[in-house]
Amino acid sequence: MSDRCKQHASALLDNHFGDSGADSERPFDADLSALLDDQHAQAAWQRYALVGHIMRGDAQANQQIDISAQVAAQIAQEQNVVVQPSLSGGGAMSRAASRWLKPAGSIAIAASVALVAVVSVQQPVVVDEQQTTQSVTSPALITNPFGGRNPVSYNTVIEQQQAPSEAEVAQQRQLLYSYMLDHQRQLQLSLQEDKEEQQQIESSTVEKLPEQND
Amino acid sequence: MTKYVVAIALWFVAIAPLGAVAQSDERAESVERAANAGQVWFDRMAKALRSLNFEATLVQSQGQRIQPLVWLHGSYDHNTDIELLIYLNGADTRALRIGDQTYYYSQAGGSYTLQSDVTFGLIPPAFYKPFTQINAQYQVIASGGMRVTGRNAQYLRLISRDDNRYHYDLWVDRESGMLLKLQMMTPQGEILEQLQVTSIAFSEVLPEQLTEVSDIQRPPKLYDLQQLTELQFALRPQWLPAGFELRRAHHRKLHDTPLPTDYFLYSDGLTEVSIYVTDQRTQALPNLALQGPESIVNAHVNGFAVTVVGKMPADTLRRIGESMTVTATQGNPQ
Repeated sequence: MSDRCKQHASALLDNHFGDSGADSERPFDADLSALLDDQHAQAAWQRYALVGHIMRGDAQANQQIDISAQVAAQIAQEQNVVVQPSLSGGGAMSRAASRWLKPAGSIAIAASVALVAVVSVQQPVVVDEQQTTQSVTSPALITNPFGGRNPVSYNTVIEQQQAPSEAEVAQQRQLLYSYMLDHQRQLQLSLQEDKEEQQQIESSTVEKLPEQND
Repeated sequence: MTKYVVAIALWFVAIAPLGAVAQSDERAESVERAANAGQVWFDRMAKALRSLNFEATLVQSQGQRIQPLVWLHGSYDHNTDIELLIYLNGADTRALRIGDQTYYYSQAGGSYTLQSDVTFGLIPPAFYKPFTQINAQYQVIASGGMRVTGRNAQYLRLISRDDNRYHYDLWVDRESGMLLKLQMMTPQGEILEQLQVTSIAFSEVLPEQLTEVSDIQRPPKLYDLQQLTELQFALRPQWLPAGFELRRAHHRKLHDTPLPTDYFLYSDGLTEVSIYVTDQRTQALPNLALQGPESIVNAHVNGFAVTVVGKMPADTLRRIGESMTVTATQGNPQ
């Protein structure tokens, strides 16, 4: 759904539909019926309405986002493609399966952290370029490359003989990203390992006391 | 709850004989009292995160990035709690945890199962356990109250006993013990990560949405993709902040790269740090240090590139990296 369409949904909810100057040239009716026919717009409407309810403090249990339905739909959608590595060869289905399974090799973790990693690895590049034109000795103060103030400042010190080429910078960024992802992945595997060890100990205590080997 | 009352009562009994003491002792006493109350509140929070039935919305911010989430949690039976997290911005990402099985679904990066009784990526796993687990390296101090998410909240400062780690500020609902707000910051007080519950509704029973998730499809389990072998290089860390213990150590290729790497994972119970060692000739990074919610430092030591990653000040990571020395014996560290 386009942003404009979302704006319409939002405007409609606030009874401002047709207010905005940019839309005034188009007939109100056509937009409205298009909006009402659009499933995405309807979903957006629901969400906006919920946000409104929550903001007014009158959200009730039965007005909450219907997550179960969403999960069910999502699962139904994924069902055929997520966990069936042994599908009979060929066919769109198994291609889809392998597409879904492959990322398990390049697991993107908790989107949150992964994306932050991207943000942070973008920093040295900017600094690096500034540094070569300014002073090499003083640690560079990081400013937001996109303007505005960066709430997190990255204290960056980079020692480099000469400015790296664009390809080298891209390679370095990719490498930093790999370290960040690898770290996230290991943290999760370690979490899993702890749990498995804990269970092993629990099951072995039934027969004998666990050995203390610290 | 009665346990805490008893704990407090015992504490008073213990401290009462020292009643008439000098003023400096009184000050020490009040600090101790705050620390004790802090632990009681922390443990209450840990219990609440496991046992409460709630439907919440929250916002997580890291650096320039802000992510709204829906967070549902409920206690299914005495042993099993169910949790559902939905990230509302960007690629549709959800985490569903049923007891000690966590299922991650993402349109962006694939889906997988992790055997873990904590949903990764939101709250440090240590916050689900009693404070005594991290008591040696951290202290938690109750200091006053504040209104958070429209509720009466207790303010807790969780600080490391040295300045080598990040600190946390926590706001805990006085009525339920629920965590309402969290800040992670540098020892200097610069905020790196925030979590703020924006609305929350408690209920007596499991939220209805969570009653219908038991028979959903489960993605494949996360596992080590590569053959892990013995450490190949002779470089070992000689310094880490107090309390860090080795959790993993092996040799393999760095994720998604052909780089042969020695890997070490250390944890102090709350904070984890990864150390990577590769041949300097094969790794193209300059010496660098980035500080953020996850810091990363790359240093050249004895012909090796040492890369250290973790939720810690870049200075600490640099010290860890630079402490790496060649040891005579190869094999397991420490």
